[in-house]
Amino acid sequence: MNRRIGWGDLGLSLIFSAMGLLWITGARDLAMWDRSTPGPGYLPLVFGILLMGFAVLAGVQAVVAPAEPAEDQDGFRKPLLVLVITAVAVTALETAGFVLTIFLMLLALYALVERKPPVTSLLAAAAVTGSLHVIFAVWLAVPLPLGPFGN
Amino acid sequence: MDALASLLNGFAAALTPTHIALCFVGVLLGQIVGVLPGIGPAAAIALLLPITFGMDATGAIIMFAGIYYGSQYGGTLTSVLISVPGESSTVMTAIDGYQMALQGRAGVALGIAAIGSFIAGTIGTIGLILVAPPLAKMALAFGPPEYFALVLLGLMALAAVGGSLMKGLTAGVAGLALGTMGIDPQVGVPRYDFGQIWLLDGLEFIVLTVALFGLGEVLGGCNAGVARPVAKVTNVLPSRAEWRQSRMPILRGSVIGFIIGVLPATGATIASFVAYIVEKKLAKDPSRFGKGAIEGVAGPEASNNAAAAGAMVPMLSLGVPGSGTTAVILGALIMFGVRPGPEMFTTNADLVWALIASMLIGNLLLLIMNLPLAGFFAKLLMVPYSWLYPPILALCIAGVYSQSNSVEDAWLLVGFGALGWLMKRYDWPMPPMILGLVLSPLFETSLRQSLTLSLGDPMIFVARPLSAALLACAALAVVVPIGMVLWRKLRGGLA
Repeated sequence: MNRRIGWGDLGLSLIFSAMGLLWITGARDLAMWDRSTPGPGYLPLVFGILLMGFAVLAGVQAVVAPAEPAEDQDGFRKPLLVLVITAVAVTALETAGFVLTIFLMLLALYALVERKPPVTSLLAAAAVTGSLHVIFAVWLAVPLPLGPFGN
Repeated sequence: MDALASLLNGFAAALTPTHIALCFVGVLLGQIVGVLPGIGPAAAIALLLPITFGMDATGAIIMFAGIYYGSQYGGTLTSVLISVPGESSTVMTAIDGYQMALQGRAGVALGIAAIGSFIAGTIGTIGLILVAPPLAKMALAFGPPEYFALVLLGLMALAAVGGSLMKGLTAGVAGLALGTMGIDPQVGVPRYDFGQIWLLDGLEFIVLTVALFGLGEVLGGCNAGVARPVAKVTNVLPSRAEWRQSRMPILRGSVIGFIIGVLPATGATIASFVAYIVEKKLAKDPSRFGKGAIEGVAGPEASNNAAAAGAMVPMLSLGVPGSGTTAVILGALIMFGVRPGPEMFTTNADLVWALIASMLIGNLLLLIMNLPLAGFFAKLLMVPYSWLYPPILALCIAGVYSQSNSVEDAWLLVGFGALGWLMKRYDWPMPPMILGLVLSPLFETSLRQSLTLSLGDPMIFVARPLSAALLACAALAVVVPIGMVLWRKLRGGLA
């Protein structure tokens, strides 16, 4: 028999099960009960057990009775590319500074991922970066990372 | 009379130029985020939180509430014009609204939605004025066991509303577990900091909210980069005959929406669904529904706006939000140093009544804005998402970083954003996770205080009638959906 499995649901149930296990393990180092009162480890342990239990049941559901796949199951490539670019930008934030990092991230998203015309991409990236700089650094006086060029 | 005097004071506070401007900005932003794909009211409020740090709490909350109820109308535009609901609460509007648009009556559909939303929003706010203060007064008698039971009810109900009960419960408990990170509130022991000093403060709700509703939505929607053809909007005022057909559905939808909105976790989506079913049942010719019946737009639209006002009742009077967006507003209140709960009507009466008065003003602003500007808002739909999501992404990073000037929070944004994308993709509900995180401290404190009072005896939760009743409702919220699934399977097996 060729049974269909909800791999996405199964993956998420594994992530949440692992989190539940982490909470159970972490709770062991904390006091459970102290003079008729639950200690700091009591509820995290309960949450860990419940989380693991519910996640495992959701995983079983994904195998035994998988949900119908949604109609708009688009590909993984573009979201992954956007996620990687975001992660690279976050890594570079403190080294390269806010303005340069965000400008390059926007440029990459517009020009490389979305294949917009280069000049339009440059203008859009510069306009958005400038607006964010004005809002956060100038109006709200948030100390955004400056980077090597003081930007 | 007390409520009337308080409301007049509220109007005095809300009618200052700053607060009117913030109310206008809120409903305008709400309208825009309701129209634009990939960013909902919860994410918009979360992204604006860092910008409002220096503001007074009343002004900020007036703006956030404006975003919440303004987004209900914004979602209608997409439902009617391109048959893509901007918000889940406008799904039912798409059925007949889009058919009306295909018949060249898009303007009338939007016009009746605006008028219905105004009437329902006003009725809902009057309901809020009548119901919330006495409920808050009653809740002043709540002790830790009742609060524990109430939080449990809110979480269970929200988890049970989605497609899968197991997924909802998992997300809710994950939020509760994340809420235990940082210093323990009673004995000061660090928990789940993984040796990182920056985790001693715990996980900020802004980080999780922006990650799930901001980055997660962007990743989930970035594949849809092309704008869809939009129907033309002309003549938004309904004729006399159309108004006669719509007025009773609007009134019925308002009442249904408010009552359903007050119930924990049911919210605007279910309210609009029920209103649609009721109108179809009451119609002389139900076959018109699905083919452009104006009652199919008027009823659900009134219902979802009244529900938005109704959802404010448990948040303001009990401190327990009934939906993802009200959970974010509750988190914002906490950040501004306001302690949500029944005491709010006494300790922060100025803020609460100014907010309620602003809801009446905001509804009027929405009506004034929407009748002549429906065509303008419709043009926003022509902007392809490929132009919109990069700035949203940059705003997510800037907003989360500025929260505590921490690059580590930006890393959490990336991690939880990826999780949010997967949850969206595989239909795991995110609001229970946010609600779990926001309510986790109250849940833990009330449980520990209750067990301290009873010297560790868990019977305290069932020995007190109110607490027992709330726990019974929480159990029902889980048992009823399971029972319905089993009943359907049993009937299917017998058939």
